[in-house]
Amino acid sequence: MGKKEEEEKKDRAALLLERKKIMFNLVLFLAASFVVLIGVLTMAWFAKNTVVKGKGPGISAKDGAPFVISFSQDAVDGAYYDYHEAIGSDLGSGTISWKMRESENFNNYGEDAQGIKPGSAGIISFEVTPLVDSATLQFEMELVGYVSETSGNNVTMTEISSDLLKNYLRGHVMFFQNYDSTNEIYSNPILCGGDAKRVFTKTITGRNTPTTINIYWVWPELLSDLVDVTATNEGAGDPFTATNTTHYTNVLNNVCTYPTYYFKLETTDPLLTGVTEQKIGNSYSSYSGAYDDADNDIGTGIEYLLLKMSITTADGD
Amino acid sequence: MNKLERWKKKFHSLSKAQKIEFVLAMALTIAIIVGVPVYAWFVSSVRMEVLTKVKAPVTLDIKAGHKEDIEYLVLGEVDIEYIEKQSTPKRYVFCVNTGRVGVQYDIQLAHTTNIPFTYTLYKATEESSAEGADVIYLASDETTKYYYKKNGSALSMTTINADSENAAKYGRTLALQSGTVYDKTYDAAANDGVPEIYAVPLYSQVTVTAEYADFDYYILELGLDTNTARKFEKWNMADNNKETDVIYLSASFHSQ
Repeated sequence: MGKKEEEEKKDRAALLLERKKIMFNLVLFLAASFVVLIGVLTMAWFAKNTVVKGKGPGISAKDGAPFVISFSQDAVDGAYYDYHEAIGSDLGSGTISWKMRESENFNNYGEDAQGIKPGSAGIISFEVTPLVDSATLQFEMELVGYVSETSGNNVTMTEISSDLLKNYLRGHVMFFQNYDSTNEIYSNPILCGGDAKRVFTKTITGRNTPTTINIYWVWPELLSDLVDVTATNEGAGDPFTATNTTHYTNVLNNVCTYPTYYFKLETTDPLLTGVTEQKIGNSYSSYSGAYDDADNDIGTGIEYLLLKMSITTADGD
Repeated sequence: MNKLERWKKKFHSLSKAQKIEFVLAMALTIAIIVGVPVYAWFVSSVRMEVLTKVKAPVTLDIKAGHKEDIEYLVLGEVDIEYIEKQSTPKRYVFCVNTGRVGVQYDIQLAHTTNIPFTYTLYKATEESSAEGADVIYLASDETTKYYYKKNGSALSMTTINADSENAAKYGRTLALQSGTVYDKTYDAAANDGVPEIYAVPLYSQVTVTAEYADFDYYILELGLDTNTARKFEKWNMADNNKETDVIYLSASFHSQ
């Protein structure tokens, strides 16, 4: 009897030890997750803005963001909405569909949507409602080109791979913050720097009041729309930015700094170096031919354009 | 109250270890539930996107024989005596491409009038053999030959600036002279008056409907109105044997 009792005692002791080990591990794990949780809560507390916990007439806002994006009541999904799935976009689960209006679209509204070509221009818009008195927001846009292949009912969209075409997209489709329709003058260009992103910042005021943001898009038909060549080329039109303003200078600098965004030329072509307004004016027919060639390449090499916009709170809010 | 008592009882009936396990599991679950929305809270940005289409450019091309680049359309020298003796006009092949069947386009022929050529345009087809071919085109590789045959009767071209009244006088139709029409091109002021009558081009046009989505072939025939040329005393063949004419061929979409 004694021996059995001893064995049982030993077994119980071993079992107890095992259970103690398991509990110890569990406690450690719980402690660690509590530490993480507290850490997260603390960080979130620091990063949190003083926000009214209410949402305006919005379509989307992440909890805690100091603004809400919405569209006009009559805005609808673009004519090529069905193709978003084919490009693997996360529409609906992270990205919202930029809705288009009959009078304000990217030539992608309704059944008669024509698409864009050199000379096309228009407006696209959306509404921002700050949930605070004043929100400084950064707007970042990017254009991505796609080609499609249809086999039966299946459409596959492939992103363009040519760096040349990607460069042309940075220069040939342009966005401006303002347009004077009386004088047909664009201002506040939203240009690409060293990459495909176009950024502008805006401070929106008015708690819970929607502010409409208009973006004027244009595919300039002629090189003379961008660069003033009237001094050396009789008959050339004026640029569509006012030449005595920084708006013109910014566009001109973009052309001179990033000529591969605008011209189809061999990489060794001397026209690609030391580009200035003067040089363009003097060799206008060469530069303009190269600009038109790039236009043609876009037309034959790219079928669909995806316009992406990312809006974030700017630093120093 | 009954259910609660039952749960309490059940909880107490568990062994100590099991109780602890149960509490821990509940705590962890709650931790996860709280943690997820907190993370989402961080991402205070909105992303939106939209697709549009790029309109494909419309094509309109003129090329030489066998769809070769236009630089291979060479008119070269024309031996008038050869034309006379052989009674065979000089013929050239070219083609126009619109990319779509049924598109209407205008072909325009513009030429100066130094030499009394007759200009006729025919539709043509590419043939596989030299038999009956009107034009034998030597490709750019200078070896391969392609054969073209006239298809149908001459296209009726409308000459928009013919000076028909004076045709007999010059032995051929010249262009209407008009300082106001041509002064921008020829700078009449700098040249002491209107341009030389033979230098002003005659413009002839015809509207055609594209038969092929690929290329429509044409044959341009340069003939010599020998009777007129011989009879016309002001145009001396010997004197003019190095005379040159400029010929322009162009195609444009027909606007209604």
